[in-house]
Amino acid sequence: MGPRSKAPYLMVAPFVLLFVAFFVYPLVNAFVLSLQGRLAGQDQFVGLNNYVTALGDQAFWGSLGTVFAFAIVQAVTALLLGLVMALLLDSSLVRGSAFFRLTNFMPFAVPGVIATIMWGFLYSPQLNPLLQVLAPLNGGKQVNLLAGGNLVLLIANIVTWSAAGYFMTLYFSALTALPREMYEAAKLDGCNEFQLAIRVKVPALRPMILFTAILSVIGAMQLFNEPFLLHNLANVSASYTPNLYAYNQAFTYGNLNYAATLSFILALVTLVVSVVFFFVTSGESRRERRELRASRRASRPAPTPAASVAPRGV
Amino acid sequence: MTTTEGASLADGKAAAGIPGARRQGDAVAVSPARGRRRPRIASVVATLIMAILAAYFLLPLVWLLLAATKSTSDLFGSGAFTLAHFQLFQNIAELSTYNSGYFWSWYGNSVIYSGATALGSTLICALAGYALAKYRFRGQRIISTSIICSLVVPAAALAVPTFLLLTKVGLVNSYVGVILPGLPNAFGAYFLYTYIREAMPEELIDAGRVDGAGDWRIFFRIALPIIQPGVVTYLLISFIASWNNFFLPLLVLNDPSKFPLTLGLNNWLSLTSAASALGQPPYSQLVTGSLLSVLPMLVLFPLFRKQIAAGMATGSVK
Amino acid sequence: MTNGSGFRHRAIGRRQFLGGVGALGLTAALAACSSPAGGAKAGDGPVTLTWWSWLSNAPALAKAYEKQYPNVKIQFTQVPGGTPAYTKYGAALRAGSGAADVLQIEYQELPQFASEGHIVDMTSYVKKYMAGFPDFTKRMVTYQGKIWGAPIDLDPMMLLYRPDTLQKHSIPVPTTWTDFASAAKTLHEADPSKYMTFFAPNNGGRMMGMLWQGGATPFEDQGNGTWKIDFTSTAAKQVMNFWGDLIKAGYVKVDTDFTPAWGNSIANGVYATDVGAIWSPTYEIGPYLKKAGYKWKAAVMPQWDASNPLQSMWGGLSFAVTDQCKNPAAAAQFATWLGTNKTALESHGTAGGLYCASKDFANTAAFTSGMPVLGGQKENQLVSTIIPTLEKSMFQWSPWTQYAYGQLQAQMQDAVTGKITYNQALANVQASVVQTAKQQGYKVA
Repeated sequence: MGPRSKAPYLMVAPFVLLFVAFFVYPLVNAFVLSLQGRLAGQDQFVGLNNYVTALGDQAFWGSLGTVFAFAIVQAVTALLLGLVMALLLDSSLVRGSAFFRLTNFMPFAVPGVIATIMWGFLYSPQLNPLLQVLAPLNGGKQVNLLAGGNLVLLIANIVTWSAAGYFMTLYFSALTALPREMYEAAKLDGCNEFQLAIRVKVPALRPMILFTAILSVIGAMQLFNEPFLLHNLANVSASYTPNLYAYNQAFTYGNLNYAATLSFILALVTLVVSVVFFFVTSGESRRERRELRASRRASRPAPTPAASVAPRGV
Repeated sequence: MTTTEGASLADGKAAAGIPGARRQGDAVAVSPARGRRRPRIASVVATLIMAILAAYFLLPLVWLLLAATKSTSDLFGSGAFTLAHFQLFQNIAELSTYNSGYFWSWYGNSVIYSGATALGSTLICALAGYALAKYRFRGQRIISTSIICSLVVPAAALAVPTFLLLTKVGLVNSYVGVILPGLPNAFGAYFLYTYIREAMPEELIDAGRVDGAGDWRIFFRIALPIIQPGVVTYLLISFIASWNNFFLPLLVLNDPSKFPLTLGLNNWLSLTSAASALGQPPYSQLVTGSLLSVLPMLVLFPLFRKQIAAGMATGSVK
Repeated sequence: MTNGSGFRHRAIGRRQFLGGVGALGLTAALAACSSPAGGAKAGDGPVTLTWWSWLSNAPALAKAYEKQYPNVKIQFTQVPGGTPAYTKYGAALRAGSGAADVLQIEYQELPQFASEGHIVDMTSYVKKYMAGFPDFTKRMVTYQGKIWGAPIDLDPMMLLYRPDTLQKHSIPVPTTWTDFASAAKTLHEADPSKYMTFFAPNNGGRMMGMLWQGGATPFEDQGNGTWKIDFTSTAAKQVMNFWGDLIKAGYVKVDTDFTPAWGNSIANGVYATDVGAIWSPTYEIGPYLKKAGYKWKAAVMPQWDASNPLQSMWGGLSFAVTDQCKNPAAAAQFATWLGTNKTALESHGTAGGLYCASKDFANTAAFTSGMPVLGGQKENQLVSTIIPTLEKSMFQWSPWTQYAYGQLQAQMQDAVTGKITYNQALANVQASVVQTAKQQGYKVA
């Protein structure tokens, strides 16, 4: 660990070089591209023209609206489901908990592409007998989930199916890492399992929940695979999500510069949303933790998640 | 094997002096004191809720398993959760020759992409994490700050410029073009940084130095065995993530012989919805192909679940 | 090049060598150009051409070509037809690597790829065959005065129908859209489980064909980079609102076409007609039918004004050579062969689904025989009555076809869900296409 040792530089070098090549440079280049336009076959500097266009682009705003709606639905359901499962598993009420910890986490290992194909088929009335059973409730007409305007819900279900078990595992791992003394104190106060969960465990998990919520929102803003694939089974417009729109602008319509602009705006919006979300909620959680510590004499702050960045896809 | 690794992970944690006794998650002992109010009913209800949720998570996979054994007409004609005429092997044979017989090359490609990405990414992220956690050097702060900041930048913003970059350097439509951008994983570096910081005792490094070992020797011979559980966790997560990867290969690859499974199956899915030269829409191939591509994951997952979950738990302790 | 040269000679020799290669390439190109019958003669060395297509007879065509030209090897890759194919082409072409030498590109997409410089000018290869093609075909593959693809076929829109369903309710095959609308009412009121047809808001191409058939000309190249863009003409509004009214009344069902659910409705006879194209029996309806369900027939499109009949196309096949092709002469020869050679055309004819653009072959047996999916009906004989009308059309494509399709799709979806009116849908398409054209540096009149 000598001050002149070259070792640390050599150790970080491969990561840093590739990080600069495949993260920093593309990010800078995205901004440069967004200031250019391809006019009459030549790249020219157009200033903020692309941004002005994007501001007036209804399709783009529509797509942002879609992912916001999706982010809310998906984050709430997946996090809630993951939380409920983790609390149940941690309550020691559930029999065969090892089995459930495996089965409910399993979809995490299923590629999003295959999850989408599977659910896409299950949404089709021809393939899913449950939908045929529902037909009488629909005035005798076939229930075709893919035909309606509930695409956000259908996609949210696919993503929730894949991610809820992941959140469950994260929360459960965090719960098992909590010191037992916290529970003992609560039990001395006469808490039952349910009260213990609500009053002690959930507040203790709060930073983790907020962190996973931010990451869910970031993931949701990037939504691409599911609508891209469902396009084959349902009417998904080319500008359904910002990412899909940018992809189509780049490769179907050939507007690379405009695509870079849309991507850059999306990155900015995501950054702003997550930073605001982070500051608002971390302030609250700090206050919350102080209160918790005061009231419950809990000895340790709750764990902060590092490993909760779902590394699904690029 | 996984159990021992899980145990040594806990050991590593203890060695790192992490406070907080870890409760035994697997052995569920129902203490009589806990369930004062009708413990039986509460337990039944809780188990029932979990069972219903397990059905939600498992049934689609069961459907896939059954559907893969059916002919296309049975796929549409028989109940979703019933068996019809069993022809899984015939389906596999058909799928192997369908569409120029690409399926098994896609399989091999997926193994290559995921294996190379997981190994390479783990190595460079472990090295970077170790250097950031155990050394002080100039530029350290800017590197760690950039890594954390990059976690909130959506990868989508990079799609077009990454594509143009790979085009410029001639890596588009190549194996390297898919593998290389996946290596510098900010999540991996951050995860291994926090893990190594907690799990790797300074004393061992100092002891190694006293023995006259160089920096690299200390990393490979002393540190690596100790941080191995965290490294393996990231290796597994990284492998699963690359196996599931879709967007990057979609941008990079045009030649179907280089596709990974996800891209190939997407191709078949679009053949069901577009004017197709291959006759009937390839529903049965799609379902059988989906099953075959998740099968190794589903078989291996129970073996590795503990490893992944254990790594998450430690990684979550700051 | 020569052995035993000194170092200095070698240095010069390399330049000579490169020059020599260039000259050889040129010779090969000239050879291919001057003798259409045998461009890749023995001695030119083996040539491998990669080819992306979604034709059902593509593998057979590749084999036939290899047999005729043993020095050429065709590596064929199946691509999904329509928009997914063009997105894939776009990515590969803009990447500068990975695209095939020869691509199946429909007429409507040629201007976009040509304006981006990603397909090569084929005028010198194709021009001499143009005498055998109707003038209309030549216009379809020409953009800015150059020919960009070797044309193969004409794809007029047709009305496909189920005679059994119509007969059951004593509905004659509609010859005007007015008849079509009243038939839609009669049918659905008599049998609520059936619809005259479906309306697919996801399909911009089908709608564009219908707009064209209604007399709309959304694009007009006025020269010097100036375009007239018109999606809000009376004709366009008439077509769009016709469908809007039928949807509102519930006589036509909104459905996403080319999906499993829709395919099932086709197979089960939910729809009495399909406003499709000549290729629909082969590529649109056929794949979803079992042999016993081959109950469809083809008819000429209903007319808006019976005294002034109009026809349009949905699709239209050509083969283009990409800028990534190392041997454009050999590729152009293959592309041209696909639309002019007797063996190739017979193969197209047998596979079905296209009307030969080459006048010399349009009436040969392979094209005039009966179609199994249509119960033996001779679809091409019907088409030949449409062609003269179609050839009078002055409809043009633009570099924004895919964009316009995408916009039509998004706006039609909003219209069918009642968020906007059908006129607003057209106005929105108009606004966004104009904006995109301007963004790309074109002037809009």
